[in-house]
Amino acid sequence: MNNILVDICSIDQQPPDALQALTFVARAPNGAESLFVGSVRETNKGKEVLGISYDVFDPLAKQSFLEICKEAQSHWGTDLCLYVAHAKGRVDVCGTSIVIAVGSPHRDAAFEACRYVIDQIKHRSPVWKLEHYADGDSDWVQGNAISANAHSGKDDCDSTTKGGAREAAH
Amino acid sequence: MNITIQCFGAFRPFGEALLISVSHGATVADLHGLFLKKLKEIDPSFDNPILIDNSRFATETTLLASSTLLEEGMQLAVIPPVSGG
Repeated sequence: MNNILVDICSIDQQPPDALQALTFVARAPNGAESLFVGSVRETNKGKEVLGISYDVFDPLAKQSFLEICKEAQSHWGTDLCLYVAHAKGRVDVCGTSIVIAVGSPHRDAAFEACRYVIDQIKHRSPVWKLEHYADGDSDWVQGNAISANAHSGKDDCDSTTKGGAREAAH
Repeated sequence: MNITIQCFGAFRPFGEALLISVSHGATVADLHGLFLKKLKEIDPSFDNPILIDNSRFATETTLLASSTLLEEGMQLAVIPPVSGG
């Protein structure tokens, strides 16, 4: 059975699903499952936010998710199970933008790998946010420029973490 | 020769995809200036060269190095700074 699953979820069809993520990574050898859920919060930089439209270059985004997951396996163990699903389309406040789950025999690896995956996605994966504000305006979030060596990040696997969490998507 | 650039993120207002004429021997490094020129043709008020400097060009499978030679009919995507998660 494959132990990595990555997906782009059109929001009008199948939003990212935390239960589905946990179900995928919960295997008999695993003693820990770590879950990260990103959601849209109601303010950003002092402006009231109604929702975010996620633009995604699907094929490259899925490839980057896969590369990042494999990097996590190379650092924290080839027995890691990883699940990544990112929303595409408009997500309103409190809606889920991304779900990441990591299953591992031990909790440290599950926590740290989960943190690594979300941090790398934010810096490397071709996904963009168009914020919609209460005053009627919309604006693209400034974002992070992808560095020239972004897709060879194995040496970047030194992040530490205090664990998975539910976090606002900004 | 012509290549097609699919637009994402902050470049979406310029269209789904743009056709750009490039000379033989041109590289991805040359594409930044050509892309800026194309955007100015569409919207003369566009004045954000930093956004283009901070963008990359990619195929469906890889981000391209600046030295990559452009080829007739290439289908590329422009990748402005990302903000996923």
